[in-house]
Amino acid sequence: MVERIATGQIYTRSQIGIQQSFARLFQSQSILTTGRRVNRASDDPAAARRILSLNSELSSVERYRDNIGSVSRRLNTASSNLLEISDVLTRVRERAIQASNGINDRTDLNAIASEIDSLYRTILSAANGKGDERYLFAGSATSTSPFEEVTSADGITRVLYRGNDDVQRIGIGPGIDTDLNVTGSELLRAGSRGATSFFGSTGAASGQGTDTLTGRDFLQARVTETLYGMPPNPDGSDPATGLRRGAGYLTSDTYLGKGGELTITTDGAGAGTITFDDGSPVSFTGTETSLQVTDETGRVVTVDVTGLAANLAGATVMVEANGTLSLDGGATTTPIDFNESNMVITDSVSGQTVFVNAMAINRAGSDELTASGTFDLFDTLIALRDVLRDPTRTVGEIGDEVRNRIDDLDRASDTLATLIGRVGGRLSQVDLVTDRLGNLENSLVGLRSDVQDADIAATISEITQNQTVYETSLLLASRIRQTSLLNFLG
Amino acid sequence: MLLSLRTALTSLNTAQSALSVVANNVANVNTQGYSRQRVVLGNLGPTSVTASNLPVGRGVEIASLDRVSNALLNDQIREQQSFVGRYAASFGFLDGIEAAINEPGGIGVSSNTAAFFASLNALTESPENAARRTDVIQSARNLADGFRTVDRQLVAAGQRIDDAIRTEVSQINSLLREISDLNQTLGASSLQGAQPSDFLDQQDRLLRDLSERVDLYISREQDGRVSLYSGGNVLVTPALTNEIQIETGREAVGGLSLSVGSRESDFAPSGGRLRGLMDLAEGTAATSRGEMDVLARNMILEFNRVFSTGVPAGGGYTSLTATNRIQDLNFSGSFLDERLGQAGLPFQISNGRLTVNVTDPNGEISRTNIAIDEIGTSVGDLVNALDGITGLNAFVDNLGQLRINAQGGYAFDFSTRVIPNGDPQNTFGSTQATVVGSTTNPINIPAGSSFDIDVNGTGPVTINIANAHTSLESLVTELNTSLSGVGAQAVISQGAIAIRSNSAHPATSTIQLTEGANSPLAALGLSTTLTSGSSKDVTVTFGGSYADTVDRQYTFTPNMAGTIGSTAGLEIEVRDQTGALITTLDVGADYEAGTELRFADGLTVAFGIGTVDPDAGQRVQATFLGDSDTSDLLPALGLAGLFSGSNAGNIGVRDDLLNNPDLFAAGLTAAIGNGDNLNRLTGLQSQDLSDLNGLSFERFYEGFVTDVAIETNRARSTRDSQQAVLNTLEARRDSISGVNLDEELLLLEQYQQMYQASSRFIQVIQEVTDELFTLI
Repeated sequence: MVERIATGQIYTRSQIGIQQSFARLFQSQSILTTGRRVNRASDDPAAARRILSLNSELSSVERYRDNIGSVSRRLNTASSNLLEISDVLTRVRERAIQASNGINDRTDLNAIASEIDSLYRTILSAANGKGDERYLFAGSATSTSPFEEVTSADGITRVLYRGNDDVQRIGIGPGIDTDLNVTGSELLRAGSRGATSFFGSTGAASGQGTDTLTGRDFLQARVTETLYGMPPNPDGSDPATGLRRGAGYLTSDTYLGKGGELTITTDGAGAGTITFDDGSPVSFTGTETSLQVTDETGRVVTVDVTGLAANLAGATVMVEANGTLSLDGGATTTPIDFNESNMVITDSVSGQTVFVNAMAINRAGSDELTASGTFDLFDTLIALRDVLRDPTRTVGEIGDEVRNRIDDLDRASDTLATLIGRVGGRLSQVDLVTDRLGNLENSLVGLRSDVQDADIAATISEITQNQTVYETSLLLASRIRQTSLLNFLG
Repeated sequence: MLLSLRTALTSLNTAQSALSVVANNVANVNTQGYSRQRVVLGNLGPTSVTASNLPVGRGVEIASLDRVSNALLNDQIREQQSFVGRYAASFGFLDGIEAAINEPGGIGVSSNTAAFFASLNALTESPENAARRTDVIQSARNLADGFRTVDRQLVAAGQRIDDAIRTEVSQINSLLREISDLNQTLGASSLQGAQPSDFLDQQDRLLRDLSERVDLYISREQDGRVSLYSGGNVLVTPALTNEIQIETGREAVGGLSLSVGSRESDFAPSGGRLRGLMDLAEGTAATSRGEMDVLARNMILEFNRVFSTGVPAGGGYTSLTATNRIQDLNFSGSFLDERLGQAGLPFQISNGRLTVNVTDPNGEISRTNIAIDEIGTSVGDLVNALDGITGLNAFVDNLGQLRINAQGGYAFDFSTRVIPNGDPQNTFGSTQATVVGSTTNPINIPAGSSFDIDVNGTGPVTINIANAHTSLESLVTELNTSLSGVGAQAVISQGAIAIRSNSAHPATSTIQLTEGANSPLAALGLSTTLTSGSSKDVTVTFGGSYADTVDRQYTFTPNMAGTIGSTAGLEIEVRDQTGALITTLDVGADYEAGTELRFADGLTVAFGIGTVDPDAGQRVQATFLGDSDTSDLLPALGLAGLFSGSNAGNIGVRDDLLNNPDLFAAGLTAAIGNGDNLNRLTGLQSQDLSDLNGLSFERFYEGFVTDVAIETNRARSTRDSQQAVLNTLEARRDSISGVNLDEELLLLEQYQQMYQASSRFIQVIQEVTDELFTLI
């Protein structure tokens, strides 16, 4: 206990007191003006740490909310594109049913074909749809349009998928991911593959194994070399009779394979008849360079009779024709191996392959291949359009074919419905997570506010208190200053 | 009577002196550190001779002039001042450090980091978006700027502390000199018997001033001279003065170190402002920079590790320049002879491997692994290895930066991406008849070995091997000179030798090997069965992504000869590197060629149509990489990184990224929308790093901020509490030594009355004397 007070002490004491209460006032003021209890980390180190980690948690919640925003935008765009495709498909189906009822003439069918073509283009453009400057259904190859229409030399149009199967996953909540995109391959998913059917007269048949062809394609068998005689001369002519290949035989010959036999009779002047197997005899004068001879099944060989020996009496000439197979209209060809039951033929445009049993190939021509069950959305639409315009089919055949495609349409619709459902499911998941994130954010903000924010009421009452103390110190100082013995000494 | 006059005179003199003491006290009422003086009166003893022979006193004198002070209390105050000085100095500068860090709530490294991760995340949603790529690069730049700003401010804070130490030392020295001078004066004045009170007061003030700056132990001579000791060093004795010296030549922790006098001993005070400043310089100021450096360094390293092994938007780089310079540490005038581990690079290189993928103009990707040995591999070896890769040119420029350029149409990257083409040499189901060996390097083929080869039934020809071979590469080179004569060739495929017919023979030709001298075929694992070419080259295409962190090798072998997608029962057996069967893939009659088959987590393989033959050794071997740069060479060189620099002071964003956001390696494949690398980058946010005491970036930073905050908080509260103690002590000192005006006024009154009374007495004596004189 201090028992003696020096005069200077009174001033020092007042000074310290005024300083302290003023500092407290200043502190309260800075809390009130910033609204924060912790303005510098050293105000409350533990609270500062908590604030920093709450801030980082909050920023991750904000990030999730950003993600959710773009996820739902993206999914909504995808969903509306899928719905558009689905609507258009319904209209295609109506037209297809109309086309299959058998009372249409060619004009009607052509009109329907034109309408289906425009609907197909609508679907193609929806499938190539963009959102946020990126292709929606391209996997992660988002800068190039995913569906490309290509046409082979044989007139088959295909839509090829140029995207990839990357599925983007994005976090929309703590530990919650969602898929952001639907890939084009999901959109094109077809049914289960059946056998590939060969429609045509070349004699080609399906080989063993699983083809990769989807939809339709044309297999072309062509003659590359017709040989006469056994063995023939290097130029393919028969050494015995002088029978030669006729001019333009490569395009006009339809005979392929071995074992054909020509029977020739000539007179002294070189005129006569020629018979191909059991076909009808063909007469000639001896000057024909391009004489077409047909066998009993209609296969043609083209011969040049100008070099025939005279006075042939039923001479037989063996004929053999080699050829090639092509799936892409002749862009790439594979020589036919007539002993091979399992040739591999590839379409260079689509990269698709079929196994072909070549042993029974006997005629040049074009077979239509149909890989049942593999018609994807675009294959179906294109096949539908093209078959309606197909002049080689009767109206009845067209109707049958359209009915086959209606099954494929239904399957494509099912695929779409599944995808739309999946996207919808994701959207509702996003909604749920949004609610949960909102709650989380609220509670984090609340926690941070508890730690960081000023208790305004308490601070104000503190200020009032400090103010009183401050004023009292000032008052006291001035009072004490007035009291001095000097005032009383005479 | 004269005696009485003299007595009265003593009283007058004494009262006057006492009044002047009061005046001095009153005058010093506001003087800091003034100790009031108190007059002690004493009576003068009686004379031996008096008129009445009675012993009468001779009057009054000032017995002593006391300086009212408590030496113990003064010592306590000085000690306390050292405390307060220490923490006040600490707090003053810690405050500056805390302001530099600017957390929480300010735009500090914490919010920069959060913004950077947020922009990375935003890019995850659409990696091809150029605006978002730019945004990520900008946020990375802001983060780097944030680090550099804090670093600069911490450096400035450190310099301010050093400056303060210099000022403090010069002031301490000047105080020491003054105290020394006082010692001289005190010695002299006590010899003359003068009152040293004022000198002692002055000494007290100097000591108080000094003890606020540095802790003191004081020993006092009888005459008031002092010896001062601090931190075990003698500063002042009556005989000498040791000034504090700043050792500028020696770089101590805080940049400065102190010594005393001519003794080359370190001066380490234990209190006072100087201690507080030195604590900071060696402590928080240094460690704060250190911690920020550790954080920045680890961020640079970890982000660059991940970033450099990603793939930029274009699917590869066409030109890269290392941001870290190789140094010519052996002064040979060339960078090329430096060992990689000793080339002055800022990050550690380990023994390991760097994987380089090169995409050729056709989009075909080939992979080269370069073995890196910290000591065994020189810069030149690395440059040669890179330069030797088809499509790449590499060199070190004159600044010591490694540069890699791709030739026209080529691009390169360092990713773990899955290489799609699983059979680049086309030895698995080739249209050319192919026999594949099974022996990998090293091999042992003695000189003079031979074997026969019959290609496409043209008749066996003997191939002689003239030289001994231990590597497949040299054997292949020798074999090809003789094999070309028979329309065949040797290649290395799947790590082993493959002998095949060449284009001199038609597709689906045959090949038949027959063993000769020294049985080289058996040694190489080459089959001697007749093998024919396939109708179609079998394509092997890998897909998916590999997420594991360890490398895995898979071997794919057909279970029988047959055609993919056609032969019933044809399967591909998948084995791991231990030879254990992982799975079998059905590629028989029901397999639609080209369909992706899953064989391991995240990985797929697709086989094209064609004929394969296990008897000819045909197989596919593929290695999937967990880490494409186990050597950490890329971050060490600063090649393909996100950040440049190596600490908080020089962290930046790689220059070419700022100009071209397409170079941001967001993906792990060439597809522009692929964001797989972003997932790895954002994953770093929650990754705990052993270099950061097992904490993530943000937790480490929070810990650092909290540490500085605790330090600041402690300095402030210690200063405040010690100041309160000091205030109490000073109050006590003032209550003893301070001047109370009222008290002095009373004394004034007292001595005035004493003077008046003595005057009155003299007047009485005068009157008495006058009376006496009238009698005369």
